Amino acid sequence: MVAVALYATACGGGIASQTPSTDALVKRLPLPTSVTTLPNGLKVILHEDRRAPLVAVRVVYHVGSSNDPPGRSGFAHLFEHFMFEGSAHVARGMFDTLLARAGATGKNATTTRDATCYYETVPAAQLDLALFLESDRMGFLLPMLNQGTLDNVRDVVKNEYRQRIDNVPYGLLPLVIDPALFPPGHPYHRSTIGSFADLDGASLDDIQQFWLRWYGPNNATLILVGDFSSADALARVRHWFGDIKSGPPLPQLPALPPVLLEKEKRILIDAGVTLPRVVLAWSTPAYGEPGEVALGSAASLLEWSASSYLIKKLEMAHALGVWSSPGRFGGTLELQATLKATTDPEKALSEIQLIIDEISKFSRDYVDEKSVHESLYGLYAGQVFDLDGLAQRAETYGFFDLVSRAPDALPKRLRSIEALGPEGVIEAYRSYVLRAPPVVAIVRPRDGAPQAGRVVEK
Amino acid sequence: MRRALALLSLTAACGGPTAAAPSWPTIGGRVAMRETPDSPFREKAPLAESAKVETPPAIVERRLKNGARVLFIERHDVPVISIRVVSDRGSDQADPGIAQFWARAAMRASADHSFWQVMEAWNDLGAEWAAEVSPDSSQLHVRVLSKLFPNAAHLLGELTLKPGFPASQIVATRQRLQAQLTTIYASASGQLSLAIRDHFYPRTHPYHEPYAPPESLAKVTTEILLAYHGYAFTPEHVTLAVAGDATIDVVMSVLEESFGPMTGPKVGAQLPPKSPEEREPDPRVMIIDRPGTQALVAAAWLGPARDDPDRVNLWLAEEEIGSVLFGKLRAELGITYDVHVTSQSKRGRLPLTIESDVEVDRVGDAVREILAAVTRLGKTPVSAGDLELDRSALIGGGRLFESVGETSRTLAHFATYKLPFDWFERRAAQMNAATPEDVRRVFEKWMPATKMMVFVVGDLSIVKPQLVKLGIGAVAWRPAWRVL
Repeated sequence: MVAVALYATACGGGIASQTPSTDALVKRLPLPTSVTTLPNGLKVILHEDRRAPLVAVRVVYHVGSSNDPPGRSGFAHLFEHFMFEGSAHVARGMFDTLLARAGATGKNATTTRDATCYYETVPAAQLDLALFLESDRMGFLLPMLNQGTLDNVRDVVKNEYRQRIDNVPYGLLPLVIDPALFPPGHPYHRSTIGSFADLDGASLDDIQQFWLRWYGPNNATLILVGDFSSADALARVRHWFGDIKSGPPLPQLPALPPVLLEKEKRILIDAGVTLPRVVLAWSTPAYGEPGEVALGSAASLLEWSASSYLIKKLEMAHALGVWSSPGRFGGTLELQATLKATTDPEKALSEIQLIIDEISKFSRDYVDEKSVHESLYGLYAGQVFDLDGLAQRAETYGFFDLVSRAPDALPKRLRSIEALGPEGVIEAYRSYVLRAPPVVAIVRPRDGAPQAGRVVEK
Repeated sequence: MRRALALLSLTAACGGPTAAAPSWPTIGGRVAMRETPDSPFREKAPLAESAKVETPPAIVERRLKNGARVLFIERHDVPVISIRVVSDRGSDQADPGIAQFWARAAMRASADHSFWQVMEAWNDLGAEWAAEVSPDSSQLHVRVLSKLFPNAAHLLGELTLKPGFPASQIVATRQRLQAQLTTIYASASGQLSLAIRDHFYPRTHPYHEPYAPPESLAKVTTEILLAYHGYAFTPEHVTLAVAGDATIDVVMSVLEESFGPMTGPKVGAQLPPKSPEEREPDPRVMIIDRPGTQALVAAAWLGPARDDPDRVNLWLAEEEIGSVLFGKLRAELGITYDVHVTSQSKRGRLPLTIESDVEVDRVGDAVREILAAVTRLGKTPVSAGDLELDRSALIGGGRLFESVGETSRTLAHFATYKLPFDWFERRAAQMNAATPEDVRRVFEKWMPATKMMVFVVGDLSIVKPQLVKLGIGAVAWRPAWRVL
């Protein structure tokens, strides 16, 4: 058994020595076979893949919580639910029924800061049905935007809030970080799920205006991946979507620079939980902006170093994770540590800060060239894994299109990872983590407090 | 100096970080109405004929010289390969918590290489890897770029054949599991699972514990984990399930080199755990006191084992009642975000549940609706149209061979239960042959209204009066379980 020794000798010459050559790899990657924009502005991305008799269908509307109107937080997400309530030719309740009857799977929708995505995977023979349903709610939703539907959808969203936030241990944490990290006026200042008050304040006119503004074909991308011929699929898309009227022109907004806080912001939360938890969050560059790829690698390094120090050496924490989440207009890097019941959160924060400082020194105790390369291998392979399943591939194309307007941007990204060296990673880390005070949230276990938590100080 | 320059270019290129509020335009003003012209072709949904089951790609079956089975599907659409080492021995073959502990500790060290060395090796490969366990199977999985297949297989072989569970690693794993259990116990779904298992199974039954019991964590030793691993991973019980970008000749050569030295005793077939005696639902309702704005409501019965003749028809019944209650509780009443029906198809009998998080003051309504639906479906056959809908959803919804990862998982399923490769087609044929009366009969037999046990994880002071008022039977309660 020589496996481990074998890897140890493979890592001297940078990422290219361990991963396949990107030029050779790219020739084998399943990238979009065609990208077309219809006269009404709908962008159509197709990729033929005949390995299973299925088609992954994904419609990405370029509207997310960053586009919620002032005083109407949660609107983009509320609207996600409207899209399942029927349209002019699809009676209420029939959207899911028809897809189920067709044997569709993975049918759902999701709202992020930047986009609202609708997706399903259908048997190839049912492609027309999926296109019919998606085109009907793109072009003919208005008749279903009535008070009864609004009331029901609002109730369902409130229940989603209760299920995902209110009744979940530490549930409040995701809602307090962004408003502290991004100032009022920043598109990421608001939470995606919104507030009950704003949801209750939504009028029917608000809803109709939202749909008219954001749900036109000129603000959407349709992605099909699977068992079809591109010419035939495109003809079907033109048939179903070609006559849908465009919405108003929408400005292409640029990414915003990261917001560097002048001093650390503290949020203290009491929660009915057993273990303390601390979260540190930093504002980082948007997807594709300089430093963004490097911070993906830096997140791995920070996780690795902080875990080994805080969990293994000091035995202060049970679990620790670090995530880099770049979006269209900005990004975040977040460290979350669940501490032992006996650990003082302030003491843990001091130790975490120590690690943050040490990494920046590029000290061999924590980070060296080899560890940077290792973090890049995972980043590199992960990009290729994202093309594995049909639905996953459709999601990847849609994401690249959203953030860079280039659905086939993967080769460029792989090359940028390949080109990264330890220096670039550490510089990005110094710029956006070391030199920027974070938002710090501390959750203290308190009997009688809500499970999700209650902000007691900020 | 070079670093300073790099930093300069970084900040300049994106306009420089800022501490001030950004200039972000508000996109306002009224938008004019627009109307897409209607067309006759939209009048009727273009629904094609019923869904057909996915036809499996060609599966190559071979054996290593030591007898270990190899299942392989060749595909080159993505330069990725997925390898699963599948044992048909699962968690119910060990004391409670041992297999769960094993899954969290496996693949992290070998007899020859430390935790840090192995972690470094995985990182070098850029691999995704995980150990998984169920009552019926233990698995080691790796997904990696296909160029690195031999390296990944060699490492996986070392970790399978010469596993290491050093004491330091056991301490770390124990800590991770404790934290995980704390989170699970704090959740409504965790409390529900504990309550359901506690009701249906005696404490000594292998299915009594849905998670690693907290008290078991302290007892786990290196020797215990090595014994479990050695018992599960022998040529007789292992299948190497591989899917992806390689040829069978390469696969066999690499696997022979990596797994050829595997030996181990023959330990016979895994028998399903003895089924517990059916219990009368008394008390009829069990409340687990957990304050919150929502309550998790569940109706539960003891489900059938996977080889029960009713199993296939029961899947249809589960699809039907899930659809009925989603329509009622979410679309019509708007009191929940989701309804789901769960049953695990394992060698032994596991619970069958209908679950929904509902507004805490609407628990009585939810239970009433669930009971009404179960009662109706046990008496009145579903319509032919609804049955067709259920059938299509289940038959078409496989996605068994969509990705390299899912393909190896499907192969692992074949291996665990020794299924013929046309098993999914056979299952579809059984579903197509089912009649509305067949489905009514399984409702009557497996989800009888009279034996429906109700569990509610919610605020006792709010939910108890609602459940008492329903008058469906005795209402008991208990405090939430806690990790000591």
